[in-house]
Amino acid sequence: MIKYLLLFVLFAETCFAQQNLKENYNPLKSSGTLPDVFTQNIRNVIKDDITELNKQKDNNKSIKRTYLTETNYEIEKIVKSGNALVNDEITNYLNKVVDVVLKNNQTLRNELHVYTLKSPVVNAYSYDKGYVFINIGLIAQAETEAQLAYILSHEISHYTKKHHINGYVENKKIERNGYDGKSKTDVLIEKCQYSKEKESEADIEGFKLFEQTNYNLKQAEKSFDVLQYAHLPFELVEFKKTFFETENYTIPNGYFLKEVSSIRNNSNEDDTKHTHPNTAKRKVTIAELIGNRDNSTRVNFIVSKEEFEYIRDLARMELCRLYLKRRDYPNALYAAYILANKYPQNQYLTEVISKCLYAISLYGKGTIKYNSDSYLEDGIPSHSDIESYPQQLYYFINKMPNNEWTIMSLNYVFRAHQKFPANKKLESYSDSLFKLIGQTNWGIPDFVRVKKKPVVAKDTVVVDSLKSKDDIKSKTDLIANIQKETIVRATDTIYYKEIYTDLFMNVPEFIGKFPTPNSDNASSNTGFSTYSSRSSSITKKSKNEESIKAQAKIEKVLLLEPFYLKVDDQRPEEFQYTESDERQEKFIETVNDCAKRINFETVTLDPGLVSSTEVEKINDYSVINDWFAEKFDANDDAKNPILNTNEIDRVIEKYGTQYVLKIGIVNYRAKSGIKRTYYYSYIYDIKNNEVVYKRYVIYRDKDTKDLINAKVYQTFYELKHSK
Amino acid sequence: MRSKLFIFIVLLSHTFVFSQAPGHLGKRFVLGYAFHTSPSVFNANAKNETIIGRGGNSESGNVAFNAIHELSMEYAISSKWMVCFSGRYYKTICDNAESITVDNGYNLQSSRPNGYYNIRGLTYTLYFKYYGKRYVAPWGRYVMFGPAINTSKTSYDSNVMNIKGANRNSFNYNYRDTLLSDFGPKDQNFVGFNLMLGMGRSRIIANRVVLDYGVTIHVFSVMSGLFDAGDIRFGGSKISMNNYIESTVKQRVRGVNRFNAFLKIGILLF
Repeated sequence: MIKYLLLFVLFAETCFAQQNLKENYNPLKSSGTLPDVFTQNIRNVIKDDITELNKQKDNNKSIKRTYLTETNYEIEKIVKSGNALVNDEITNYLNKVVDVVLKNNQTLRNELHVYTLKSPVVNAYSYDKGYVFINIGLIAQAETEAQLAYILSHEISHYTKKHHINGYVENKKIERNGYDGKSKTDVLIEKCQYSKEKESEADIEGFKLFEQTNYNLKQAEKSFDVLQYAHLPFELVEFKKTFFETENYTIPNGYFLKEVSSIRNNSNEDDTKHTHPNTAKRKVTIAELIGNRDNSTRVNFIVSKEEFEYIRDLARMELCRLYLKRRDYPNALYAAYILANKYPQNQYLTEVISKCLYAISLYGKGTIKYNSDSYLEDGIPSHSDIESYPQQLYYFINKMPNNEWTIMSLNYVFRAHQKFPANKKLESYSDSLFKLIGQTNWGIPDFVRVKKKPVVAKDTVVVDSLKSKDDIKSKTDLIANIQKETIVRATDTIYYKEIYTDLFMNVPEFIGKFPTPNSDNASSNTGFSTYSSRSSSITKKSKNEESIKAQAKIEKVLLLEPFYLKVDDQRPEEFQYTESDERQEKFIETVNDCAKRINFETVTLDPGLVSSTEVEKINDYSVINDWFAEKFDANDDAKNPILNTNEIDRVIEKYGTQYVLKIGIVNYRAKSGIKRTYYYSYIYDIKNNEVVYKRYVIYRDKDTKDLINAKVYQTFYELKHSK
Repeated sequence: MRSKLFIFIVLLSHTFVFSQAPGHLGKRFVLGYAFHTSPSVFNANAKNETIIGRGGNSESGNVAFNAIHELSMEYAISSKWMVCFSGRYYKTICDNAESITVDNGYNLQSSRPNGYYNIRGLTYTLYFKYYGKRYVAPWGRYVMFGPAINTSKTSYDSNVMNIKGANRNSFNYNYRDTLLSDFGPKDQNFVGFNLMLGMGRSRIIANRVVLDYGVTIHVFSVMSGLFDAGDIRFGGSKISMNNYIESTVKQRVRGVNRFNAFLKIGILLF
């Protein structure tokens, strides 16, 4: 009895304990028992599905068999990516909303599996197997519970109408019918047309489901506004420079726009090549359905308004982290700024803002780089590409010189460190900013260390009249503006002179850490010791081979989901999912066998190998996956700081190693019959953020067992015998 | 010799200490049997059949092949290098095709001896295999090279190998048939030196069986190939009955070892 009571208390705590967002936020985690989709053998599932399909009379069995294989693997990939949340607060809440929507249809309710996906994209989608995924980005944007309920109804309708499989079959048919007389664009339009029809059907069917509840029908229409303005932050709040100002520090107005641009209305845009009808059309459809229906007794919240707002704030907090993960620092900063107005004492938000300031300082110095692999391919966008209030922030980032940004960042981060002295991350960012300041040549002794008299805003007056480039209409305006800009440049060395005065006067730690012209920090030219590049040690032997030899003794590695993929261009479906899956199982055995033969310690962390009670492994996998997602957003060899997760230290401690081995094989057969086998094994030091071992080889051969054995064994041998 | 041995031991011990992943899954020693074969272009096999016959009864032009059996020991001293030792054995014949000179006034029916003589050959090779980049010994593509000692033992049967001739009787001046069959000792031993080069590919089945295939050449044999084909000789005395075998056996041994394709089955022992 006591055991059951304890279990209930534990369950209740898990389900009902809310985070105190006023103080802090802990990133979302899965909990409880993992559902079958995590533990089932995917090949058996596909086999069963195909057996079931074969019993039916269907003219498209061949296409549907492929669909079933691909979709099952796709669902497995999503669920086991570490991004799907199970039994967390948001998912539990979404399930409550689905309960409300399907109150009268328990059979359908039991077929559905709703999960939250840790993605900043404003989207939701469903599969024919009853899996519905709602992105964090969408939840963060929702205005009411009723809007979420309508979006869920829409997705449920996709499931009940089997849109996913029918869409797949239709697309395949369009492709198979060929391009006779049609251009690629024609085929695309044909596919989009079909997709739009199904979306419209889901809008209507979803509405029918939605109207069976007591939710406000108008919210269905409003939900399209949420989608329409998904590119804007979840709230439009004026970005005020006072947020970063302190008693002795006033940021010149010249770094801010007088006016921000208006929001473009493209609700009626051409949707010929879109998979969804434009929002104007969709709104009209819903408005017609609402018609004269009585909406007076209907409500925006049925589960709970407080819970919705709490859940949405959780999503918004998580969103900041997701922006950091794809190194979208301006969006992360703006989201955290909005939330910080509501939760000014929240440590997590302070940390997010500090991370963003620090990262933008590094970006300005050229330490953080973006490339074609990055989400922000060209780096931080120009303010002219941004609409409304966020434009102010982008303008500010691009306008303020990097040295001044670093000074401002240190001011914010050091004070944050003072506010949360136990937070080691804040301390490390603050220390790194001290180093950055030490590397500059702007005359460190010029900072006022003892307060003499209040700062005169003489310079500010000049700056106030500086026009933004958008305001400049004529040549003479341009000349005048350049002249004023020159004055700003001449005097802007003054406005921040007293920024640290109170810290110099009162905080010994600040005085001790602040670099002097002759200190190591000031003279260092190598940048951060922790983030220096080691790309010179990479040996590129040929286009078919690249390697880095381990320089440090590695005795144990965390084996992260060994990868195996077979691609065959000679077959109708190039990706051989089932065969890859079978080979992957054997590959994992081989990797472990080779490690065992050489007495090399490995710990396997593979979401495909968890039991229903091992939810913590999924959480750990998610942390590492997030680490790698941010790592891979940049150039592989760069040492850009990883900012989205603080939990990596916990994972290192838990598994007893800071080395993560990513190992895999891709086997490819071209239409011409040429065979290639790609083998890679990388070891990342997730503590020091660097690649410590790398072996990448291409063979003009099949993926024979001896090849795999030889290469995997060689990897472990080299690690075992590294100096 | 002692200094060469010392260098070899130093090389071996050095590779033990600093080598990377030698052997397949830690196993370095391969004991193998190989079958080498090549077309028998000149001279003969036991049936007097060659692709290009040149003498005696061997003008048939049928396809014939040399066959060599080999036992080898191979040891991976690093991820790239293997040190190996092998013994090749072959049994063949030399179809007599060379003209000889008889000085004692015999009138020969043919300057070429009839028949053939037998050859048993043993070739000892100390060689090194070097595995290509991306491969790990003993798996993958490799080239090999090393010195080879060719030993051969010949024997002949005077009933088979002989020369029919006639000499004039000094009393009645009639010619009398006679059979010349003394080609020196019945068993004769010869030793030669060569340089083996080869390339191949080895695969490993079930982590235990090594399947190795490739080609080998003996460099000096290849270099002398044109001379052998043209029957061009440099220096040396005229071929007489006494030195006939000595003069012809090397050509045949070179022919056997000149170029061979091989298939080897090995066992990864430890």
